[in-house]
Amino acid sequence: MSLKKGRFLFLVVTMCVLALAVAVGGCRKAPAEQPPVVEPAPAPEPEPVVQAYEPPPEPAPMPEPAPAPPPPPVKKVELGDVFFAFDKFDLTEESRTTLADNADILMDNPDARILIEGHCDERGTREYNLGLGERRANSAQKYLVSLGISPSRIETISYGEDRPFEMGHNEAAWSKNRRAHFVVR
Amino acid sequence: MTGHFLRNATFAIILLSITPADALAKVYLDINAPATRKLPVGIPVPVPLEGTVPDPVLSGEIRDVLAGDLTFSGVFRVLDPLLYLEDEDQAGIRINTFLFDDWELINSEALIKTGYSVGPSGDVELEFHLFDVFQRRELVAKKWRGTVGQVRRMAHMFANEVMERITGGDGIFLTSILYVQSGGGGKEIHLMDYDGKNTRRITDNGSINLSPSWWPDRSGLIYTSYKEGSPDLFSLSLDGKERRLTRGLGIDVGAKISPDGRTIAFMGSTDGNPDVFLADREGRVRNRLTVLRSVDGSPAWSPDGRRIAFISDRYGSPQIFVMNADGSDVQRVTYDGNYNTSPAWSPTGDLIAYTSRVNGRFGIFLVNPDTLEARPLVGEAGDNEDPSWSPDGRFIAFTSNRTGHYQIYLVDREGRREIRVTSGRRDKFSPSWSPR
Repeated sequence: MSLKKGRFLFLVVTMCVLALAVAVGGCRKAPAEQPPVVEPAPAPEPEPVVQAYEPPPEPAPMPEPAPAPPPPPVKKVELGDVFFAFDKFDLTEESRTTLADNADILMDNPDARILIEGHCDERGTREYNLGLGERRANSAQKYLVSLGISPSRIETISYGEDRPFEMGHNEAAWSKNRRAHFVVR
Repeated sequence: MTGHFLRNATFAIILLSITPADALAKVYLDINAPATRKLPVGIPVPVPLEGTVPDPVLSGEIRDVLAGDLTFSGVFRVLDPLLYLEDEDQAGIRINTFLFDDWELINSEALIKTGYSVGPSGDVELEFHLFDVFQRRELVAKKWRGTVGQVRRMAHMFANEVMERITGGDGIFLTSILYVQSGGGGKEIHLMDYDGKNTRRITDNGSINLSPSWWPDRSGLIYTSYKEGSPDLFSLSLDGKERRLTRGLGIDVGAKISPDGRTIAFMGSTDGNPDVFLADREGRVRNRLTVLRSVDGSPAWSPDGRRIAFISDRYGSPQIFVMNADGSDVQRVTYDGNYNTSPAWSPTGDLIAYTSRVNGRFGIFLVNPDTLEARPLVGEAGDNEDPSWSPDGRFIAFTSNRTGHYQIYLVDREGRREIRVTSGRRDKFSPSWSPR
């Protein structure tokens, strides 16, 4: 009985916390009940939360669950990388297509901010490659901006040859490492 | 996690006695003459003194350092111990305690004798003598006391004395080399003696740390680190004090300090465009020297501090240029090949070493910045990159992957003698040879 009650309480509190996280300002009445949250730790942990979304299970004493919690914004924004020739930072036709797709996705996700990483293959001089990586990231950024993406949403960083995607020492690996890589924040 | 690497050096080596300077300060060999013959030198095994128990490990290490230094110098030819006639058990190390004839017979023009004694507390005393065999006289003698960990250092110190006495120039055997080592996802700055021994880790932050460069007084270094996010410049003194010199987005990399120690040249970027910048030693007052929409970077000071070599791909591919330290009078220096990078101006001022791509592989080249005459130095095998000059301008350190992993090599400026000083499976690159 008491276990069931504790579990119910946990659920309610979890819902509260959830509501707090999603709908800002909700659940102001609950603060006195929050400390127990720490205690029932041995109870099943994050799994019940997921179930709580689908059939809202009769939350009797819940005062304001009015705005049904929408699914958290875990919708992944994924952007395609663009690739370059050795010692080049100019965009190919294929790269422009990829960047146009990326711009469309960014238009659909106006809150997404991105970091463009410029990368080079291992050949050549580190410092020069850092400069080259900077230019590659910059090329991609400029093209996105020209398509209408606000520059304030884009940051760039060059890793030169120091964070390769492929560890091989052949053209197959090198061609994958000469890229502008998009990280969504 | 820095500053632990100098612990060894905190105990001073004590000079115990010194032979009065020889009035005849004759220089035996001119190391700058084009085809100098090598001076044959005998280096018998160091002997225990004053009742010390023989220690073959200790004596072997002392001899290895002396023979290694003098062979590397290119000035000496160390005679094979199999030739030595002297009775090791009978001969002493001081004049009149051995026979010069034993050495003259095998044409050993110079002779280095060493004795060691180990005190009750583990302190080691080393006594070195350099003799002119044909004139039958002592040229220099030194006696030092230090810890067991300082034995190599004391031997390097005497090798420097020998160089100075024989050639009139300062030896480089106490210099060291900073480099970057890959491992565990990070790249950390390391330090080693010039001969690859006594390696120490300088940074330990798990991030990417690059392009170390010495302060001219050898008190510390500047390097680039991603540890705060974007690549910025940090200054680290050898006693562990660190200052961040630049911040913000964009790259700041490849810092080189002017010979007078007052100005830092580096590749920075604004709006994604890399250029050569100058800053004061605190990293303030960013002053942009290049203005084109090209990659301009890798600055290298001329020894008089008035000119800066740098790379630029303003004509489509990276080439070496030089300019005045205020950005004026830009002149192109390299014309051969379509990929010439990482310039290093020799301490003697007459050459710029750089990396050049030939047939898809990278080699070290030298170019005279006045005549624009260029010649290959290293490039028979593998990729060879990142030249850095020894402080006397006679040698170049570089990295090569000819064994499958990047290792640090040393070569003389004629490209004749080449030695690998590191090993292991972790890549090591970007050597920076210390001042004296």
